[in-house]
Amino acid sequence: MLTSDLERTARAIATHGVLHLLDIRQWTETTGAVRPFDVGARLREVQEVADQLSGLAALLGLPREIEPDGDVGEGPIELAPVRERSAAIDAEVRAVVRRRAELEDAAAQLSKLQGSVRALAPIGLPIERLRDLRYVSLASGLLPARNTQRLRESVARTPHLLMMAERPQPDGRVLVTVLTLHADQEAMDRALRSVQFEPVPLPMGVTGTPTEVLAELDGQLEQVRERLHAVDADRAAFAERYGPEIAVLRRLVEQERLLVEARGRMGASERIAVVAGWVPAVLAPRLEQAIRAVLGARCVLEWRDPISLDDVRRGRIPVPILLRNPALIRPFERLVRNYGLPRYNEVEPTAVVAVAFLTMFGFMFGDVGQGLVLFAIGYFIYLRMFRYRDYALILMECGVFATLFGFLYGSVFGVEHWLPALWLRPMQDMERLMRTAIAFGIAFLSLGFILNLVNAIRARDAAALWGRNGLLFAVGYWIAAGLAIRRAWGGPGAVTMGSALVWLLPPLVMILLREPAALVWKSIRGRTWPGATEIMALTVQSVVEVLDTVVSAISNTATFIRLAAFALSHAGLFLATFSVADALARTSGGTVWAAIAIVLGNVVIIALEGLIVSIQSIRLEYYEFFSKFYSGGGEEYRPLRLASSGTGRV
Amino acid sequence: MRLDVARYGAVNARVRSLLPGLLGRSGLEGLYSFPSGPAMREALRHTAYGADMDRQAHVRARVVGAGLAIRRFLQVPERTLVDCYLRHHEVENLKLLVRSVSGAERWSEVAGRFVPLGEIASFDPHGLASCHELPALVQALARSPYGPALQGALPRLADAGPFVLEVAAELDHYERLWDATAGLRARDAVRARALLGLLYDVLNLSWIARHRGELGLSPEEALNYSLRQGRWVTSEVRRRLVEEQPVNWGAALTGTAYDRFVPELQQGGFEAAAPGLLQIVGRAARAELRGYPFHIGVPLGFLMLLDLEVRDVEVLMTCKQLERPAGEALGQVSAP
Repeated sequence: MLTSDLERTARAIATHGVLHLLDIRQWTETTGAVRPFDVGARLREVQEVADQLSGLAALLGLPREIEPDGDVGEGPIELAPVRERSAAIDAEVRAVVRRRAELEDAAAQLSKLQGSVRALAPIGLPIERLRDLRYVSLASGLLPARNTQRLRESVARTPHLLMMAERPQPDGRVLVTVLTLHADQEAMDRALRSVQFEPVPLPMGVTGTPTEVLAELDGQLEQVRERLHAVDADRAAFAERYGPEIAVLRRLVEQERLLVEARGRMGASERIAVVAGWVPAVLAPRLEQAIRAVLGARCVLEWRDPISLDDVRRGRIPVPILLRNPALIRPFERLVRNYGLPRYNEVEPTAVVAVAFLTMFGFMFGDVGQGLVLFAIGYFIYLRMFRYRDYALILMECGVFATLFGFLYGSVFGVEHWLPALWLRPMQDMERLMRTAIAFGIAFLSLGFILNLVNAIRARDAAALWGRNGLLFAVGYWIAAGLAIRRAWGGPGAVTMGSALVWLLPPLVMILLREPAALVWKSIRGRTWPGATEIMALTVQSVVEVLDTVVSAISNTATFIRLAAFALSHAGLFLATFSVADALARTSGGTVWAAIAIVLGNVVIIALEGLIVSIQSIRLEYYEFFSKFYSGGGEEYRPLRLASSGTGRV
Repeated sequence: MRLDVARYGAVNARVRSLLPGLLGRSGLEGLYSFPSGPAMREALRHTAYGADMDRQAHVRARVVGAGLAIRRFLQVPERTLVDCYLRHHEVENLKLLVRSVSGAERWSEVAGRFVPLGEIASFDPHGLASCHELPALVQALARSPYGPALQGALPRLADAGPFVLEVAAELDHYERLWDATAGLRARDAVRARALLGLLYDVLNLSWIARHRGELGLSPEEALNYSLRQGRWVTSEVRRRLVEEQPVNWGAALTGTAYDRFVPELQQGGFEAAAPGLLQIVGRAARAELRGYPFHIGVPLGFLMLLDLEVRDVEVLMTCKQLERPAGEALGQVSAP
């Protein structure tokens, strides 16, 4: 676009709020063609006016925050009139404010004097006599409040009298007065010096005992406070008169500041300006419409696929990420964000995370009654506690999955004869439960491998494709998993140790030779021959890697047996609850006690087991699943946005 | 209600992914087997220190780098604690700055010794290095977290020298770090204090040895220049330590967890016992990484372990430069 159109365009872009600006300095393709805007002087100017207005708002006791809603100005604001207007209001208000400051200062002085006199009160002698003590030394002064204990410790063995003001000063220091014998004065001085003690001379111009002086100071302070109240009323009137105007000016200046900052990320030659940024593909037409509305045909709009940019491929420019998931999945974005946002082109795993989490939760916590309780708690939070709606949704969804698995297990609050088990009863068919858990683990880990391959292909990253958790590892894992399943099945043609080795050897050998082969290839291309030490080191490394691969594949899969283990412990806790209830039922009033035991048991199971299975599910997601394919570290999509008629924020 | 796992799940995963990067005793031994200092640096390039070595950065940058990598997985108040912990490297920067301004050293002479603190930096050492006098430096730092402590120490600058600024910043930092544990949930606070308490004990023993022994400060000053918090080195222990000149370690440390180090302390001073004392800290930090994983001990323990390892690496590099035999050099490291 023409440089002269930039201002209006930037404003239009900011008003629509969909473009995440790219700093032109990061984009090497434009180097030499355009220069970044030098906005330093304008930014300082705007900041100065913003500070002036903030100062004025503070003087009048107006809110520190800038009101977010309101119209966006059409063009750059003239700072001179704003500055003049601010100065005019300031001049009018200043006299009141100065008077207030003087009174506050007077009050502070009187308070300080009160503090120093109060610290002398325990001595009880007239202050004029303290100025001429014969056998003891007196030191009065300020020291950081946190050093008082330190001082007490360091002079614990020196005879002394330490008096301290009750309240610390606004700067966090307290006034202390110390009396010590002349003989110990040197030790006391050393101790005081090393706790940042600042001596304060005895109050001058006051005579009488501390009690008398304090009474007089109280009277003076009361008068000052009354005058302060009167001045505050004047200030409130000013605030009411000028508050709305100052709020509007602050908002406009803040908008200007944001726009100037944004311009600092844009570039221009003498006549042509360049604005670059990221926009979600679906919002691109909206942005184009906004820009065309301002510029018509006086601009060139170029839409580029991020991966076509060399800077993106080389990792010099991060592409911002916008997570967009359906409402039921969105709460699980927290789990993903906690680990780190996906990088551009990296698979966005929220949906998988959500489904896997809920499935694992349901598997371990399957019970119709408890599932419905969880759902009800979630629903209650959803209705009553707006801030926790994400957690409420997760709770409700966990409840639904627990209920579904409850039907599969035929369990209602642990009672197993009310409903038929549609699949199995955990305590009666442990083996099938464990096999299913392992099968789920294999499927889940396989998905991790597949996603890693997808990431590698998308990023055209050969190292990731062939590296750890890459194609060779995935194929090896699937062969091993297939052999294990076939062996578990048993029957004719079952897998023997020999046939397993025949199947597994090729991928393992390929993993073993991967690094040395890469080195040889590199050497051939570079026409150099690697040293024997290097080849040896790589071979040893590869052997260790193969061993590590085998061990971690086994352990990563075996760890999913915990799904079955916790499903069993859930059922086991029910058994324990009913045993206690049975024992109580045989005592007098036993029915009531048994009912209480069952209710309490269920509460404990919901709280304890619910917490544990959540932790286990997250652990499996983070450790076993994410580690296969996910790196995180993406940048969040944050478009340039100004408030517009009550939407968005300044 | 926020669950432990939501609070610590991600950071725990991140710490686990960083743990294999620790060199351990065998890694340090392997490192020292290289024939020269440059060869050691080259060897470090192939470890988790690689990125820092490539940037010609100080080895301590590794701790800060790891800290910055894991802090983003924490939220306030846990992140505040971790930030505060990491800032002891900024205090080291500050001490270096004080010395360079005091000694009128040029930025180019000292630049490589500063550790960049990234997004948690409170000041820019490069900008401040242009201060010509210490009062100007203190003034420039007035709005930083170290401002009040440095301002408070400034009146003593004339008679006690830059030492008072360094000690004020250091004491203030560790006080704030301890205060930061108060923001944690009760059980996390207990855990963090138990761990930090051991570190504070070692710091106190080291400072008292230096202040009383090398600098000859009075008992009052030595006490005031020590930390009030700690695990075994209580107020009474510190008092007994400062009372005699030279320090009577036996009388003070008997009955504490450190009494088995008394012979070394008596014979060789603090330096002789330092590896053993730091091993206690290291063992406690490593213990935090075992068992239930969702607590503050995981990030804090990991960072402490990393700090200890960096100290070991620095010790080995110095020993290599001085061409000390392997047995002697490895006797100085704290890795068990």
